[in-house]
Amino acid sequence: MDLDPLVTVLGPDPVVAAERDRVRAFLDRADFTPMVDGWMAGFSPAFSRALGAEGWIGSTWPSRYGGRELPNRVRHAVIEELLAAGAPVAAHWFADRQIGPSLLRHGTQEQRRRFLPAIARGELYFSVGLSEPDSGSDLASVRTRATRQDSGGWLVDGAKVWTSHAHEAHHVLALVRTSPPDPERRHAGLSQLIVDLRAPGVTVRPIRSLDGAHHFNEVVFDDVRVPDGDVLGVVGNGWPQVIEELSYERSGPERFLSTFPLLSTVDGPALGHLYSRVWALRQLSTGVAAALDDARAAGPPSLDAALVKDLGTGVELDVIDAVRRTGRPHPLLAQAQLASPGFSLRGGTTEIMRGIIAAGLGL
Amino acid sequence: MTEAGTLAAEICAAGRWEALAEAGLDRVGLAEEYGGVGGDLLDAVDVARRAAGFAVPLAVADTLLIGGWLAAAAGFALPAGPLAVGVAGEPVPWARAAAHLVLADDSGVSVHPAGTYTVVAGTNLAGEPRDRVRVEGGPSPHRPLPDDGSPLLRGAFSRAVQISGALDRVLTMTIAYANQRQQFGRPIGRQQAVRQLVAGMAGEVAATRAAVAGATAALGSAGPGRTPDALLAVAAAKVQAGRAATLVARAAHQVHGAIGTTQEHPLHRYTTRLWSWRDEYGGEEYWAGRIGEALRDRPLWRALTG
Repeated sequence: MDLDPLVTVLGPDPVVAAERDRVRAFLDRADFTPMVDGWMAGFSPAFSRALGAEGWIGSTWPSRYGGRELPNRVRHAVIEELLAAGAPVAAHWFADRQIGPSLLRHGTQEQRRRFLPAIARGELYFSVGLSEPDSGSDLASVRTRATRQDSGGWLVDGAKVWTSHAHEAHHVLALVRTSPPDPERRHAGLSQLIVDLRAPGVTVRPIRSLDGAHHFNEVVFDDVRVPDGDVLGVVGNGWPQVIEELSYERSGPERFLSTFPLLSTVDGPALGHLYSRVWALRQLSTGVAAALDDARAAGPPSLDAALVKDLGTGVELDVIDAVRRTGRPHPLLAQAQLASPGFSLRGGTTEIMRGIIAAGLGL
Repeated sequence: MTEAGTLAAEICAAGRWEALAEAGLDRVGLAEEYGGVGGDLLDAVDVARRAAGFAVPLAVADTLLIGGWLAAAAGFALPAGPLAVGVAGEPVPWARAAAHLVLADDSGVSVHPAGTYTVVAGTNLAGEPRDRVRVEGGPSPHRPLPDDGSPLLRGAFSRAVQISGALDRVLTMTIAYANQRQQFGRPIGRQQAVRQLVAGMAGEVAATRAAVAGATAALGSAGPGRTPDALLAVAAAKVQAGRAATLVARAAHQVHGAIGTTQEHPLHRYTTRLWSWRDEYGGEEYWAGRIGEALRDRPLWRALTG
């Protein structure tokens, strides 16, 4: 197995440094309380709009869609700064990270014009509709179905769970079955539909987390009409589209920076140990972002992404233990502990990540 | 990764220093004005990594990354042949096989040809020479230690590089074994427990490569005023390498089963090196402590982002 493509020796980069300084200045001026999991739990339309005004949402997109055509490695630096600071970036997070890129890769011109500029302004928010009550790790088994109507468009029935912020977002990108399941071809017959969360037949119910917070939801679809114009990509091509999205999702720095704000009370060798792991992960994650700029044609970074996620969740958990061992209080320690089971579950469990890695190694 | 590294891989398999020297790989990455052959630190790192991945019984890394650098940085013309480096009080790797000894202590750096010192043989866990030396005769010329880093730091960097090379080899061996060894009617690599274990190995191997790459970049641009970045980067690489060495050696032996614990099977050549190198030039706890100290006066995120 060749790990060479994973590692780039990166030199100093003035373009990245300049953008990083801008973000730091913005964060110094901004008014927010640092939090754990700011990208999941910190839903703030005001903060997202302010970021949008600075050009930090959809920053890699073409300018005609509201982007600034920044290279991925510059976006990576911006994201890192926001996460390390514990900023409330949840409202625009999924739209910026995966929905927007998916619209650019698979969307129609009309969809791109309709959605991308508003996302980039920090005004339009999306949820991701993948998991269902009976489909978690085995995503191909989803049962929410979309039935073609003679008069055109689709009728959607089923339910999605763990849909972050569906109670506050505008649309959900849902993975649905558009052809009957075929045991010989489990990944065939799936499609992605952009569903308006305010449409008749959509019911959103909160799922309270064990810490009392509400960001997850169950979204029930009862004969919800979705026009043809809201199908993302090709009917029946949902699975490869989703796999691609997940790769981009998994390799980002949120996979190891969720508990970074807690490190302020750790010192000595304990800090040194964690520093070395975060350092290594930063090199890996930055390298993946840089490689995306160089090799878009090479395909999604599935193996690299799984490696970063697996390593990263280990670090996030160990940060909590290190803070506890100092015996010193930290304002975010309670929040972090209550959120901790989610680190190794969300976006693909550790066990699934390791399965992907094992297959990628040729086992 | 580099042409020099690929060539080194072929030559190291033969195990002769002369072959390495004929190809000019014994002086790659070292200053030309002192007798180096050009190339940069990345080339030297790649050669050293490849040699480590073959468990070559030659002082490749010690010469390229520690001794050669130290002698050149102190202003000595580079002598031919393998170099052994003695850093204040520690056993000297390869002293009995070296053409020259490079000593660094409080009085500075000095270079001693073979024959001007006596050697008491010793070894590390892998059976590599870790000797005691006594320099004979009168005082020899000393030059001041270079400003841009310490021998201990360079030594730690070298071992991190070497560990990375050995980790790659151990991972490759383990995947091959898991695919080939059959039990219960199928390769053991099909078992979930084995897959999860090997996947964990791959993470640490990748993290170490990345940390070493970061340290190479930091050292490559090191100079007066940049030393704090090089210290943190190298220390982080050594801590990560030590962590990985421990986890990967353990998992590799677990997958290989009993046969991997025999002298006959090649795995021990690499795992004994991992166990040895993780503690040479400072173990994880030492360098984690140095990072902690360095971060007392620097905001954590700024230090990480350089």
